[in-house]
Amino acid sequence: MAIFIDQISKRYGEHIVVNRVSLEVGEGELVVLLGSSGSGKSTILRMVAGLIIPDEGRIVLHGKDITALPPQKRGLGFVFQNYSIFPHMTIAENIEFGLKIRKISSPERQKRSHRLLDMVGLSGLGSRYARELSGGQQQRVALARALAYEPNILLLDEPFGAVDTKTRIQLRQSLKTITRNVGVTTIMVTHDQEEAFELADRVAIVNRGRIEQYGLPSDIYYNPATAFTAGFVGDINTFEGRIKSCGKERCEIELFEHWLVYRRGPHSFQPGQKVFYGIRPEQIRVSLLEPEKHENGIFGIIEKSTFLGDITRYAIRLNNNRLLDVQLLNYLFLDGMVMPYELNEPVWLIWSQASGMIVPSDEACEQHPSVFCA
Amino acid sequence: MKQIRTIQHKISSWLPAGFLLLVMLPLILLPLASVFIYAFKGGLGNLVLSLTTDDVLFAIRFSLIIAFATALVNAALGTYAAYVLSKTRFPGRTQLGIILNLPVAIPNVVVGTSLLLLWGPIGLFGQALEPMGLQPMFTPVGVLLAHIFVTFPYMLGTIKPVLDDLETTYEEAAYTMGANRLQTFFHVVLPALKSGLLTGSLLTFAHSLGEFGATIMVSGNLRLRTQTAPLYIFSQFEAGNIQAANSVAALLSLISFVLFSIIIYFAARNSRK
Repeated sequence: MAIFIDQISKRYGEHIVVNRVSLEVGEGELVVLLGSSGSGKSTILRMVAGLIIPDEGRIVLHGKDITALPPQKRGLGFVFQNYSIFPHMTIAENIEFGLKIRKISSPERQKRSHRLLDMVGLSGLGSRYARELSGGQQQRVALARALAYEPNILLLDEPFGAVDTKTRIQLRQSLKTITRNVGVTTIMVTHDQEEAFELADRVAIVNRGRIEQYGLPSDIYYNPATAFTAGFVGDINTFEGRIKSCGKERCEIELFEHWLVYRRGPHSFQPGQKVFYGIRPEQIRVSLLEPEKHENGIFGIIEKSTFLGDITRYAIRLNNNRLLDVQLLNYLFLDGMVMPYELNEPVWLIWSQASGMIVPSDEACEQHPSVFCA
Repeated sequence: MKQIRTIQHKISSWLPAGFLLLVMLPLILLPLASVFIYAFKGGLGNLVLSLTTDDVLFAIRFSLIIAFATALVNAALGTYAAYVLSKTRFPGRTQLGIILNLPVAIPNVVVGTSLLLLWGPIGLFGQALEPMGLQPMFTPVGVLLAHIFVTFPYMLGTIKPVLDDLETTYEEAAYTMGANRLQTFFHVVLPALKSGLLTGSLLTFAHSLGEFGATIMVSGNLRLRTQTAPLYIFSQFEAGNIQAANSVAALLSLISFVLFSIIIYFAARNSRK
């Protein structure tokens, strides 16, 4: 285990920004802290860096307790959101800064800075200044600078925040390749879910100073541990309901108007327990035929369709006047239409009983009102 | 019809500036012009003569040296004070900041008398220094002390805003790369202060050059010892040597004008960046 964060907390006056957070990161792993603004994710990162001192808890790096060490002595690399390239030094001098502090000789420094410039795709631009480069290029410099002295860990604080979308995607892909090649243990902070899922080996969902869930992107997406995570990652249709029964093979849940849905697999819910049942828009298919016995389904009327290029989103009006979000891949384009169904046509919405999420109802509304109390 | 409107437009666009000039004429422009007129009154030959007497040469040289030394000392002191006030947190920080800016609010003459009271023969420090044979008052050291005191807020006021605006992430970046506070200051913070230091130094220099109130008190106005250029001008006026006084006044005005033009030029260049 490369990094062990042990119950760290940070308080500013009455406001608890980080609340007893624990996390472990494996050697060479890329972990992403995903959360919205104010969730405390940047504070956690800065405590690992030593830029903020935790009020309690400790940080262990390769078995050594570094909680009391200043940032200079932690041997880490940090990439800031605003790049922070020193404006009065050339790019090469910026990259060599960490090496100069470590008293590496000038020819060796130059060799390394050339190699790093090549690695981040900025060969030959060493004598330029920050103001002559684009945002994306500056971010590459920041990365090269942080990796120059071969740090133990690489920390990135919303590194692609200030860049346009296309550049973001390019930088993302470069980052993954570079960190893989260098083999450095990395922790990154972002609010962008797609970015987190593309880059991370594991994702930690951060909410109000706590880690809601920590695991593989697919685990978080399909098996959210909390109501917050279910609503935060991706889109989801939610229904209030009550557990009718939970056996070894599957659970039976009663939703509005005695509509029953099933969820395969063993669960530990009690009969009569109030829950939220969720199904994601891309997990639903549209059909004129009734659902089979092994499927879940509901009847509805197509009220709206939005063409988004690769997908089409549908808003389906259900019997209880609710709208269901459905997302279909635009697989076929025939006779000037993407789908053979028309507006106001009654259809069946069907999904597998292996899909769907059950989340206990008590905290759901409080944790994520926009999704669960709409 | 169009011609009249064009003429009217021309007049109306020049009117505000013209009115300003009219108001400024008796306040600033005419007095300044009179200095130069009187300086040239006896002819160019006389002007050169009055600018090359021993007293004048000493006074100008002394003023320039004091101004230069003041700028140097205040550059170091001002940077240090700005750094402490801007980057460190301690109780009473705001109050200290106000106190350090006080010299601007105190009449320069009062600064002079306060220094005399502290360092003079009957002063607290003065009494302690007397047995060692040291007496800073009525010496060039005393003049330097007075100038440092009086011009310090100008340096502080120029550098501190630059430090305040400097993003902390630059320093944090340096820390994460292994640099300690001192290394970070020299390699990251100081270079960013270059323009502020230049402007501050020029400002301090210019103010020191024209300093009168505190200087007349602490220097004793001893010619060829502690007499600065402004003091010389004053003495000559008192003695009735109008032409001599105005010659040096004209020269001093010219130097100050050049200095402030440079300051304004750099300030404009920085704001454009």
